[in-house]
Amino acid sequence: MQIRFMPVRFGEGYDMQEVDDFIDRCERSLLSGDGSATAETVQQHRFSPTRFREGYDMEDVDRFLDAVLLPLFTSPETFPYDPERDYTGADLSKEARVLAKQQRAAERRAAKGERASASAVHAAKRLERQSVPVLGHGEAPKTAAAGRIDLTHTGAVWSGPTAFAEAGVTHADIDYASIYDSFTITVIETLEDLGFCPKGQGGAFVASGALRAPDGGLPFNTDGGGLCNNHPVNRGGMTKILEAVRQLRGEAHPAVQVPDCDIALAHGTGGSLGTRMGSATLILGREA
Amino acid sequence: MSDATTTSAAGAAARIGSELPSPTPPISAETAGFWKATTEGRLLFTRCDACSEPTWYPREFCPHCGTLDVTWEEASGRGEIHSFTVVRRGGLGAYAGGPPYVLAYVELVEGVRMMTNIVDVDEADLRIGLPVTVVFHETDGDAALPRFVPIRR
Repeated sequence: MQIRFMPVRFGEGYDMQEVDDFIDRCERSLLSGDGSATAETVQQHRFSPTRFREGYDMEDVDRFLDAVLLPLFTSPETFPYDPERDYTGADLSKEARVLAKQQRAAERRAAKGERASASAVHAAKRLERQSVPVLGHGEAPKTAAAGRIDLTHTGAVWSGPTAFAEAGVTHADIDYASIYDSFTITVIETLEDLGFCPKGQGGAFVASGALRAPDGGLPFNTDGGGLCNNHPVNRGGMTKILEAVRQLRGEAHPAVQVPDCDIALAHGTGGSLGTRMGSATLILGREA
Repeated sequence: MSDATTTSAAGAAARIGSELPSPTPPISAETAGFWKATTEGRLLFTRCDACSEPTWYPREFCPHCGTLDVTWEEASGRGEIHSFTVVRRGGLGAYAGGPPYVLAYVELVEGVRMMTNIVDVDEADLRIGLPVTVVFHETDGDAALPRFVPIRR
């Protein structure tokens, strides 16, 4: 099996011979299918620690067992063992998520293929560019409620679920988000209201680095957004859509282009969060 | 922590909202009665005859149940801070370029939340839940602006 582990010389590591032998044994079983090694074997196996002599980095080996060896045994149909493949650094559970997402996207495309209007399809063909279908949308006004205003949420609590339901996607499917950012609090409240994190956790969610592009969990406003780049007077929502379309077409700046960006969310906020306002959520996809 | 400690910790310039401008509001046939009352030191709101719900801002119909039968009532003028922010750089109209001021929602004891200013307050004393009572600031027109000060015990 093609795999390299980081060596450790001075700290504690795993005995190299033991690890090599164990992987050889698993490989023989994967190739022959004789059942001499199973997922249980992988989960229960223990290696002897080394000290003051070279061993394999324990975290590196453990990660390999969880992220590669275990899926090879538990999901042989999804992940047939490939002796030619270099498994160093591979994460099969992540690959499984990507595969599942691509499959759901293909199903959605098949289901929605009939819905685009003929004229829009015609115009899209003439442009000879990657077209970006609308998968779902939602809109909602919010008022001061005749004296009972609730400042802890925006209209996104209503527009978001409507858009997600129409698109048939979940938060995990969103590869990129454009969220209207007139002020810091606008983004934090909207992230919570759209359900990307629990209520009250927006600040911690942002501080965790989740919004960083291209590698964060929710790459966000890669054009710099309204606070750092653009705000066309009263049309701040439009530039949110523009950057979402760039991401889906792979036309964002290379430093922040999200790889395999299939589904993007754009969210606009109008009016004032403190009095009356409007929210609009758009979920966009990518045609094959 | 005693009040004296709080004041000294916050510094001498902590008093806020004592010199707010008082621009004359737009007055229409529908709002003239409300503004007239403010010049007499009374804060009015409407309550629905059918569903009994109070409404702010006051208006000649009930947005809760849709009836046109509402009664003007005088509020006690007491309430508490529901939420607030200190605006350090005012940007609009008479407030542009002025001293810092407090923008707040006050929940009246009658149950409605109204946007207003907290005035003549030590910034260190500002908190959600702070008991406040209404004061009226004269304008050049036939209206006074209902704002709130902390209730001092």
